[in-house]
Parts: sequence; structure tokens; C-alpha cells
Amino acid sequence: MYIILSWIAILSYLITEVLYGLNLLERKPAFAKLASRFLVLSMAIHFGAMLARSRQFRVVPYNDLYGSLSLFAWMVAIIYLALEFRHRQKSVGAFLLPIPVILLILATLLNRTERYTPPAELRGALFAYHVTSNIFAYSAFTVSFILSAMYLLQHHQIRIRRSGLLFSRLPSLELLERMNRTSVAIGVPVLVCGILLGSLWARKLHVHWALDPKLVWSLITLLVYAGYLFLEKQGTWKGKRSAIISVCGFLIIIFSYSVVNLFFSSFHKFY
Amino acid sequence: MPIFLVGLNHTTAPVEVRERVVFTPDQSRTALTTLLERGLLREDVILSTCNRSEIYGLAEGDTSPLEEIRNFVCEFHHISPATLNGCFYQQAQEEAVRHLFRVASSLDSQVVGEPHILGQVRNAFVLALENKSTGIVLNRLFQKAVEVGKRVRAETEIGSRPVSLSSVAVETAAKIFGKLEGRAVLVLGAGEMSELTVESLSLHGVKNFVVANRSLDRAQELAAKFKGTAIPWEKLDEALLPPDIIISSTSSPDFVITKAHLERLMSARKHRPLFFIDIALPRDIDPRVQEIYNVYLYNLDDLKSIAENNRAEREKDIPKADKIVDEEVRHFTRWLEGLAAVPTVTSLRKKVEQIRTAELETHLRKLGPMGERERNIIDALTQSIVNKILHEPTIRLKRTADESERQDHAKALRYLFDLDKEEW
Repeated sequence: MYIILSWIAILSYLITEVLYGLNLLERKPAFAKLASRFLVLSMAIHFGAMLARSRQFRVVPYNDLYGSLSLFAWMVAIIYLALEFRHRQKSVGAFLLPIPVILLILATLLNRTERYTPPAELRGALFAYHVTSNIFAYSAFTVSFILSAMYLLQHHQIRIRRSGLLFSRLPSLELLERMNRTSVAIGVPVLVCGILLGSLWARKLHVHWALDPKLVWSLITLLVYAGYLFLEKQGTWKGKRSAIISVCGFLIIIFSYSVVNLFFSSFHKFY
Repeated sequence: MPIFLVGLNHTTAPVEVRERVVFTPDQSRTALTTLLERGLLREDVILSTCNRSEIYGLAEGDTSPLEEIRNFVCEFHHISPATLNGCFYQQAQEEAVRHLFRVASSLDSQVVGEPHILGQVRNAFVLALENKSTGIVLNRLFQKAVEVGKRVRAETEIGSRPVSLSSVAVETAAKIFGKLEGRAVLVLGAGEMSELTVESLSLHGVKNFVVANRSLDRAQELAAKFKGTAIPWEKLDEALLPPDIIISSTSSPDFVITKAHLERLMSARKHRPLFFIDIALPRDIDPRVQEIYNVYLYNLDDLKSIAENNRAEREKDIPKADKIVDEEVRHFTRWLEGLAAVPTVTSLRKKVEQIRTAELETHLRKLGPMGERERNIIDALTQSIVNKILHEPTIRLKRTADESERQDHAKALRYLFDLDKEEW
């Protein structure tokens, strides 16, 4: 059931992507309006798929690879939607939506069907909030990464005086910068909450959490993005340099998700 | 009754000639009506812009009255035919249709892809329509032309990239600053090029202009035009702090703004992005200012090469646009040819209907008294037989694409059914 729903959601996301693309290429506002509606619809179906799966297996979505990827995809989409709403600009959609689409396709393909029962320590409200807020923060940073990459690309186009297709379709530096700031500003406080909740939860379980390398790397991530917010206010760091910080932050996240999770962390071995 | 056009444009006539053959809206109305009253044309439309004056018509007879139209233009504008010698071009039928479609798609414009011509074609048509000088053929032709123009713009890159220096500058500014409304602009030097750029910016919603010029009078003149403020050259340093965009076109032989100078200012500006548009020759802005963080600089050569590139990009899409035009010309000519079959079809139907009603009368009389219902059934029966029989030949005649073949078919029909006797 939830697999079918997932594929319907993927299809719907793809339609949304095509609509955002058409909006970008044809510059017709009607497409953009339709695209936003389709995005909301896709997210509703996607949410339905996650809900159906949780009911069926009686697990929260993030206990395994399917769940966490799917939730991640959904949160990237909702952060994009928030940005679109906040900045009243739909030109970024076509560049950002491939992320949730790819994530959800991956999640659906890698889905395991056997029933999975998480160990006792991976249950409870505190844990749920801890994981959810961390995934949410990372989604925000992923969005920031894409926006930064777009910024750097557009900046390069302007510097080398190229007015090709990229130049004309990519949004303005000013907009990219503004959206970037918003997404980091969402991510940072949520990550703080996530880390605090994680510590509380670990304390409850009496784990030596202070020594966990994953925590150390999360704090480094937090530091980088907090630094972004701080420096972004300073003129000398506004623009290209801020975008580079955001890209670095994202690379740290990738590192902490892959290398640290797999090889160093004792209990952060969730996917 | 061929469609034809007679006209001149920027490629065939110099501006001194073109400006003498412009039709103002009022003149258009008079000319349209006069031409119709002379009985040469059934329908006409005049398209007159600063780059072209063209008369589109549907001839009354079998040949296009090209000579008469040319003479009419000379007479109307009081120009001797010798002056206009060699300026006119003329097209008929399919080629005339293609010409209009290419004009509406901005393929025939001086600057390929310029957006105004489509509106001008629409306006010319509306004027003729309101003047009641168009009919079924030109109505359809011009409606199609507007559609083709829109289609070409939507499906090709022909109109999508700026090709004038000032619009390139504005596009780049918009890619740096997003919406330009509310941005502050400083203009150094009040030359003609600055004025063009300021005008483009002002069209994009910029309201805050400050003009600095060595002669304050000229600065005030330009500032007044765009509701900006003029400042004396001596106050330049303060004026460099607020703006987001600086347009420079002074005649100064040295750099007006150097890297060291700007570096000092940038921290006071809180390193907000700054875009220099240096359209002066020799250059006003030290090219090394680009090394400063958040400073962008485009000079005249940059703008020119981008404009050139964009122009080349537009022209790359001309074949694609022409393909669309060809396709639409084919559709239109097919419709037109179908229209030409209409008289034959009409007289055929008329004749058959006459036979039917006559026979129906006779036989109903023979049948004697009967109810209304029976009468109606018999009437419907005969009608249905007639329609079924005539359906196929009607469709086939209208659909025959080849002109001469269709004329042959029509001729055969006329002969076999003896249609010409009562028609003419």
C-alpha cells in the first residue's frame, strides 16, 4: 500500500518538477501557480505513504533507511515550500525539487519489507523529537547548499560575462542570498534543539554521550552555520564567501553522516 | 481573388523616404476607405511603423492591382513615383502570407526579435477592423499572424535575450540585485549613452537617480528628465556611498574611480554589492576595482560582446522560427483553398436542393392527403439522402491540397451538374 503511495508521490513530484521547469523556460506564471499546488498535493501523498508505512509496521519513519530518507525528502520539500512562501519567488523550485524526488526514489527502491522492531532505547518521545529535529535541520542545510551552489554558479557567470542559458535562467544573486539566509536561520535553532534533546535522552539512558564523535561533529556543523549567520551580517562576508561557508558546512554534514556514523560512533549507527 | 501586399521597409528604402510614406491612424482610415471605394479591393489593412509601410489587400479580380496600389501611395503622400522607384516590394498569395507571418514574428525586423512589431501588427488589424475594411480573409490572416508571432516568441529564443547595450546592462544589474525598484543609481557624466541606460533602468522601476557632471547645468537637465537630483562634481565622494549601480560616461582621460579610492569607500558602504557600468571611452573606472569583494564592473566592450553574442543566439533560432512560419503558412493556404471551393460547393448544394424540393412537392401531391408526421418523415428522408450523397464530394473538394487539381475537380463538378448556367 505505502509503496504504491510512494510511487504516486514520486510521479506527482515529477509533474511538479516539470511544471516548475516550464515556468522557468516559458516564463508563464500560470505554470508556477499550478506547480505550487502540485507540490502541496505531492507532499500530502508522500505524507500519506509515510503514515501508511508506520501503521503497517508500527514504527516511526526514521528507524531505518527507507524511513529516514523519505522523511528527509519530505522535509526538504517543506523547507522549499516555506522559502517560496516567505520570498514569493518560484524560480528556485526547478533546481531544488530534484533533491526530494531522488531521495524518495532511493528510499522506495531501498525499502526493506521485513518487519523491523527497534530496540527499546530507540523509542520514546524524546528520541523522536531528537531525530526529527536533526533531520529537519539537515534538510534546511541541504537546501542552503543547493542555493549556495546556484549562487556560486551565477556569480561565476556574471564574473566571466557569460549571458547564456544558465545566466538567464538562474535567479538573481540577491534572491539566492536571501533564501539561503532564511534556510540557515531555520536550520541553526532546530539543530540546537536536536542536539539538546539528544543529550537529554542520552543522559536518561546513562550513555557516555559526551565522548561520542557524532556529537562532536554535530557541534562543528552547528558552529559553521552559526558562523555563517554571524558573518553574513558583516558586509565583508556577505555574498560569495557566505555561500562558500554554507558549502563547507554541507560537506561536514556529509562527512558526519557517512564516515563518522559508520566507523566512529558507538550508538549513532542509524542510517 | 489573391491576397497580396505592396510595401517598403528599412531594407528597401532609406529613412528619408520611409518617413514620407508613414500612415498616421487617421491617414490609414482614409486610405483604407479610398482604396475600397475605388473597387480594386475587397478587403485591406495598412501596417505602418517607423521601419515599414505595407498595404495588405484582397483583390477584387483575379490579378492583384499592384501598379494601382503603388500609384495610390505616391498620390496619397504627394511623392513622385520616381522617388519611390525601386523602394517597393510586392508579394502575392502564399508569399504575401509568409511575409506577414515573418513580420509579425519579428523575423523581418531591423533587430530580429524586437517585441514591438507584434503589437503594431495587432493595432493595424484592429484599426482596419473598426474601419470595416476587412472581411473573412484578412480577418483570419491577421488573427493568425498575431498567433504565429506569439508562437514564435514562445517556442524560440528569438526575443528572449537583450541585444542593446543598455538592456544588457539592465539585465546584468537585475541578476545581481534582483528587483531593481528601490535601488539607488549614480550617473557620472551626462552623455547620451548614460541617458539611454538611465531610461532602461527607469523602465524597470528605478526611481532614485543622482547625476554628477562637470557642468552642473547638463547634470540638472538629465536629472530633471528622470526626476533625479543633480550634484556638483566636487561632492562626488559622498555621492559614491549610497548607490548600488554607478553608470559612468565622462570624457575624463584618466580613471575617475581607482581601486585604492574605492577600497577606502567600501567599508563605509558596509561592502554592499556595487555594480559599475563603465560606458566611457577612454574608460572611467579602473578595471582593478573588480578585485574588490562584491564589486562588479562591466565596460563598453563587455556589454558589446554580450549584445553581439545574444544577437547571434537570436539569429541561430531564425531557421526554427521559419519552420513554424512555414507550418502556419501551409495551414493558412489550405484554409484559403478550401474557401475557394466554397462557391462551387454552394451552387452544387443549391441546385440539388432545388431538385429535391421540386420532386418532393410533385410526389407529395401524387400521394394525396396525409398527416403532418408522415409529411415530415418523407421530407427528412429526402434531405438525409441528399446530404449523405453530397457529403463526400464536398469534403473531398475542400481538402484537395493541390490548387490546379482542385480547380479541375471544381470544373468537372460544374460541368457534370451544369452549375455554371444559373451561376453566371
